[in-house]
Order: sequence, then structure tokens, then C-alpha cells
Amino acid sequence: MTAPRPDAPRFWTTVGLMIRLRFLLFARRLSGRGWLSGGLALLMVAGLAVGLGVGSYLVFAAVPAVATNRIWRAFFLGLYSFLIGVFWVLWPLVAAQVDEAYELGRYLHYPVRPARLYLIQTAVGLAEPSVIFFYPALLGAGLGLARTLAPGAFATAGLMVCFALMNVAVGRALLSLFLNVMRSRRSAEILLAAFGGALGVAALLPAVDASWLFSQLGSMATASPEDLGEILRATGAVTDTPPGWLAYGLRAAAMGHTATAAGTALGMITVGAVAWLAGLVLLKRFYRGGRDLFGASRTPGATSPAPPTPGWRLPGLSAATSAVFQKELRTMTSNPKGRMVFAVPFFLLILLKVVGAPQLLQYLWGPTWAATLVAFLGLYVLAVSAGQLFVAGFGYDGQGVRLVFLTPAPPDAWLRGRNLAQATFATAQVLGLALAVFGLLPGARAAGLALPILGFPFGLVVLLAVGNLVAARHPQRYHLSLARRDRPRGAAALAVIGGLAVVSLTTLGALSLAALAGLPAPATLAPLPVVGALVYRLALPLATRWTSLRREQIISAIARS
Amino acid sequence: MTAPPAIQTRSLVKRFGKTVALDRLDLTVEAGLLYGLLGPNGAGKSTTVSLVTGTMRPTTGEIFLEGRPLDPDDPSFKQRIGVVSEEPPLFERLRGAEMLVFTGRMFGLDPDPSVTRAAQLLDLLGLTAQGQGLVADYSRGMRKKLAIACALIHAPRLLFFDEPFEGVDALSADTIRRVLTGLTARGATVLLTTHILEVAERICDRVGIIHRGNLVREVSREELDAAPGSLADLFRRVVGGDEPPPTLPEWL
Repeated sequence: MTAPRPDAPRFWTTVGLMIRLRFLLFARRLSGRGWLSGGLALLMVAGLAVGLGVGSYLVFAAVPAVATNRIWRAFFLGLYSFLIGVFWVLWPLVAAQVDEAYELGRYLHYPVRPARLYLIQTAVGLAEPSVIFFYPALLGAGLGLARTLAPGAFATAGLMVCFALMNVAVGRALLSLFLNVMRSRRSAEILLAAFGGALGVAALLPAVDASWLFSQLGSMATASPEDLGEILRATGAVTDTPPGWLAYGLRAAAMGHTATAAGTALGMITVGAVAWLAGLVLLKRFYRGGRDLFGASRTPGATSPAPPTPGWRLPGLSAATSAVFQKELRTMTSNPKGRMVFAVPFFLLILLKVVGAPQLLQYLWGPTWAATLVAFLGLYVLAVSAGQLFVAGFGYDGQGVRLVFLTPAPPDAWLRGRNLAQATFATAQVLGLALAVFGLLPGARAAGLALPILGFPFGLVVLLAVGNLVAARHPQRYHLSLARRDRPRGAAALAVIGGLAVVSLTTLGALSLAALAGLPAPATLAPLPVVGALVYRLALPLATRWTSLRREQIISAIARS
Repeated sequence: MTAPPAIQTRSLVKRFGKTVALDRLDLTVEAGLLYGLLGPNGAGKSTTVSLVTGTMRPTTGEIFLEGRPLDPDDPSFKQRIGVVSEEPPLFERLRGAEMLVFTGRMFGLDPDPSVTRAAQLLDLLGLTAQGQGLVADYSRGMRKKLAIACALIHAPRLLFFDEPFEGVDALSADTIRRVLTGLTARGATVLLTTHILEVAERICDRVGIIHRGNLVREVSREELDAAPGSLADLFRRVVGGDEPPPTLPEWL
């Protein structure tokens, strides 16, 4: 070649390119196929972020007990720091996928050292759209604190920057570890072992008794010295952990202990650096196909020596529907994304147990707190299943989607089989979560269980119907790999949100009706599953017709690459 | 003093668990050649490309590019190569032209030359009309051509094409063929993997047949010219295609 080859790009050039790439991809994702839905989503995100900021400011500046009592202030500051830290770190895992801009594999051919690339990507991760939520919260808390605790603008800003860096680095390291686990041929066994281990440990852990705290919330200003001593001990426990270090540093800075505050900042940077190095090693291992952390790696092109299983036929269903059911169920349970979607809420539940949340839930929701929690978990399962499975339709099939139109089975056999598998998957998940709630969390009672028992199937069938229609109208390619982030686009996302809203409001309406009429809740909740089944039955022919008529668009969207 | 081979591997081994993908592969590609690496599915072609481009690490063995040991993290090494992988890592939500300019900038080109080269490459590969379309909307052939443009934008001397003709229509395949031969005419070295024996026979200067992780046979341009159409027979013979055809079950 005669053209001159350029030198490798400079550090800041690469930083600029990465930032620009992030924003371009974010803007395109937001706009989807239309700017209206993108603009609405942006407004919603901005509103939530501003609300978080204002709320944080008010907690520290306007709640009398927090503003005037230094012990309560220290406690809330510690709790605040801890919760933001934990959510920040867990967010990449809860989001359950990696954005394409973060896939190191896409940059392996560029002349940038992986360490530098990972450093830049971590730094750019500070401005990732999902973490932008945390900045208004931190800013609001900082401004609120400035009115009472006054740690100094410089110290506050410095500590918060270190806190943000630590959280981004630890979050990405955890995600790298998870990617390695999921790549492993034994990912199912590892997850099962981690489940078993975590559930076992969580079951053995003594319950954290925080009831004294919630009994004090109504009379914070008049708490007794014994209670305040308890609060101080709790504050110490929270601020001893890395997510609580921000609070520790801010308090030290406010008291003029500059060296302690600087030490805390250094501690956060050290934790971040160690996590960053671990994350880099794990990511390089993931993308370069190094030796599996957990045994044999997946082999390109390797096939399982197991003979094909004969399959089964479900009573009352055609052979085609049974075959689709079996295939869909296998697809959902044998791929990393399905396993992760299934696993995440269980880990959240364990976290609830560890931080002693049952007392808080009891304080908030009264004696039916366990049932209400199961209902919320059901809603979470519905939201994730609808967004990742129901509206995906044939999106995970890739080229296989052509089979839908090549086999003699009618499209409704495909839809029924797929829906049955999706319903089985989501129901198994929510039943497992309900069992975990009652097995793990102390004090869980069966009171109010009619809400989740009758509300969940209603929501499930309605969202399956929505999913079928959306999948036919807005087909989209989904990926089984965790290295690809798939979100329903534009109208599909709005349909999921709308479906969830209708399901929630209808269930709440039924509950209110029961309360108004003086009836037990099951009396008004019981018809809901029947209504849901009717909605599904009415929507199925339309979804079948659309699927059949729009085959060209469906194949084009899903089988293209 | 003779120039070192453009690509050289010595006793290259790659294992995935118990599966041996490459088994002491010794491959030498002289500079300026269009070298075709053929083999049945799972023979180790893509693994070879992944190893010599540094996207996988070998279990054991050595790799030399232009006489220097391969350091996959060294930016100057990446500056010298261009890679078109089987599944090109393109950003779906960038436009084709944006993807090219981004790639050019990542390789250290200033903005203006990036834009100029991007336009020229889009033109060369017949993508000018689609340059402002999202990559997500590209067909398989268009993606391949865009990936080729991305691999060329920094004017590398060593090029690796993993199955560039897979899923590509006849016109696009013709464009890609012309680009490949044009590159070697300008002095570049190209390592190409393909299943399409006719293409390899027509355009490659040298062909290697890889089977079960080993290079089992090499054929020169002269040998190919001496017996046109013989590559398919040779391929079947070398990879075991001479076995009797399977017997169909009675019901079929």
C-alpha cells in the first residue's frame, strides 16, 4: 500500500471519540424510529432525575430531625451513601446486559492497548445514561448537607468524585465476573451453586433487627439516649463498608479531620483501582478466549455428545404446539441471558434479607408486607419478562424465524407454544421468589396472598397478549448472548409500560372496590385471571393474523444478520 | 537479505478444553501474496485468523508478523493489520459513513482524511448510496463490504479476511474479489479463509488446506494453473471426501 499509515491515536483523541460514540449511540437508541417516543422517554428520565435531586436536598435540608440532630443526620447520610453505592454497583448486573459501546471485543482490532481502552471506557462510564440518575441525588444531598453539616465544597466534590469512580469500577468488575461465569460451559451449575450457597448463607444469617429504628421514625426528634446510641452503632456499621465511606469522609471533613477525609478518599480510589484491574483481567480473558475460570471453555463449533431427546406431547395440545413449547422452554433456560433474567431477583431478595429490609417493609406495608412484596416481585418479573421475552416474539430465533412460515403448523400453534413456555418460565420464577420470601425473610405471613396469587396470572396473560401483538407489529432481533444489550424500541417499550400500567391499575382498582364494598379482597380479585384469559383469547386471532400478514417484515427484521 | 515472511506460525496449538482446534500448525505466508486458507467446517481456519490477529491467545506456539513476534496488545502491531472477521463487529446504531470515520479516527487519522477516505472507500465498495443509512438496516453483504472498508481505512500492509464471501451476492462478491486482487497488486499481503473453492482457485497466489487443525497441503499458483479445476478434487482427497457416500435411510 502506498498511502501513509497514521500513528496510533493520542489518549485524549480516544477519550473524545469514545464520548462522542456513547452520545451518538444513546441519541439513536433514544430516538429509535421516532423522535416523539425518544423525547417522551428523555423527559421521563430527566423528571425522575430532578425529582431524586430535589428529594435528596429536602431530606438533608428540610426534614427537621435530620437538619437539627447530628446523630440522625449521620445515620441518614450513612444509609444514603450505602444505598446509592450498592445500587450503583449492582446496576450493570440488574440491567442484565452490556451495551454494544462497552463490548471490548468490538475494539480489539483498534491500535489502543486494552488497559487504556478499559480505563477510558470506565471513565466514560461515569457519564453513562443509567448512572446519570445518581448525580442529581448526590448533588441534592451535597447541597442539603451544605446548609447543616458544611463539610466544605472542595472536600464534598472530591469525595463524591472518588465515590463515583469506585462505584463505576466495582460495577464493571462485577459485570466482567458475571460475563465469565455466563461464558462457562458450566454456567448453570455455577449459578445453581451460587444460588444454593447464597440462599443457604442468607437463611443462616441472623435476622437484622431494625424494628427499633422504624419505631423511632415517627418521633425522631424525641428519641431516647438509648435509641440514639443504637442509631450511632448502626451508623458506624454502615459507614465501615466501602459504599458507606462517602458518608464517613463527609462527616470527617465537616469536623475538620482533613487527614481522615483524605484517607477515606484514598481508600475509595484504592478499592476502585483494585476492582478496575480485576475487571480488566476478567474482560481480556472473556474476549480472548482464555482458559475458563471455572473449567472448560465453550468451544467454537463443539457439539454436545448427548443424543437428541424424543420430546413430549402436552395433553390437549397439538404436536406442533408441544414441540414449540419444548423448544422455547429450552431456549429460555439454556442460554446466559435467560438464566440471568431468572437469577437477578433472587439475588436482590438475598440482599433484602442481609440489610434487614423486612422490618422496613413491615413498617411501610403492615402485616401483609410479605404478600405485597411477592406482588411487587411479580410485577418486576412481568416487566422484565415482557421487555426481554414477550415482545421479543421470534426475535431470539435469528434465521430460524423462517421456519415459522416454512412448516405446515399455523402461526397460532407457534404463538400458543411460545406463550405457554414463557408463562411457565415466568410462573416458575415468581413461585420460586415467593418460596424464597417465605423461607428466607423472618416474620413473613400468608396474609394478603390473594393479591399476588390472583394478580400475577392476570398480568401474565394480558402481557402475553400485548407481547404477541407488539412482536408482530414491531419485530426486533434479540440476542441470547449477554454481550449484547437488547431493549424493546419505541412503540414496543411504550406498549410494555402501558400494559403494566393497565394491569397494575386494574388490580389496584379491584382491591379498592373490595375495600369500598367491605368485601374480602379475593372476591374482586378472583375474576381478574378470567378477564385476562378472555383478553388473551380475543387478541390471539389478531396476533396470528398480523404474524401471518407481516411475515416479510418479521423475517427482514429478525433474520437479516 | 531476504524479507521475512509476512505471517509465520510455529507449532501453533489452540485448545478449548479437551478439544484441539489447532494442532502444531506451521504456516508461512510470504509478503505480497494473496493466500487462501481452505478447510471443512471446524478445521481451524477462523481460529487461525483469530490467533494471528491477536484476538485469541494460543495455548502454545509462536506467531511472527513481518518477522516480529506477535504482541497482541501493541498498538503498532494493530496499526499494520486490517481484519475482516466472519461476524464484523460493527456498531448497529451508527451510520455506515460514521462507522468508517470513527474507525479511521481510532486508527489515528485526522478528521479530514478520515472523512475523505471514508467517502472513497464507500465509493470503491459500492456503498455510497447507503452511507447515510444505519448499520442496523444493512444487509449481510453490505455489512461485509462496510467491514472491509473499515479494515482498509488505515492502509494496512497485512490483511486478514475471514470468510468474506459468506452470504454475499454475486455482484458484491465480484467487488470484493477485485478489491482483494487490487490490494496484493499494491504490495499488501492478504490471508483469506473461504469455503468457495472456485474463488480460491481463481484469485489466490497460494492455497493451504487445513484439516483437523493441521496444514495438510499447500498448492502454488503454478500448480493451480497447470490443472484448472483440480482444487476441488484435491480438497476432497485431502480432507477425506473420497469416502463412499452415505446410504440414505429407506423411508427417504
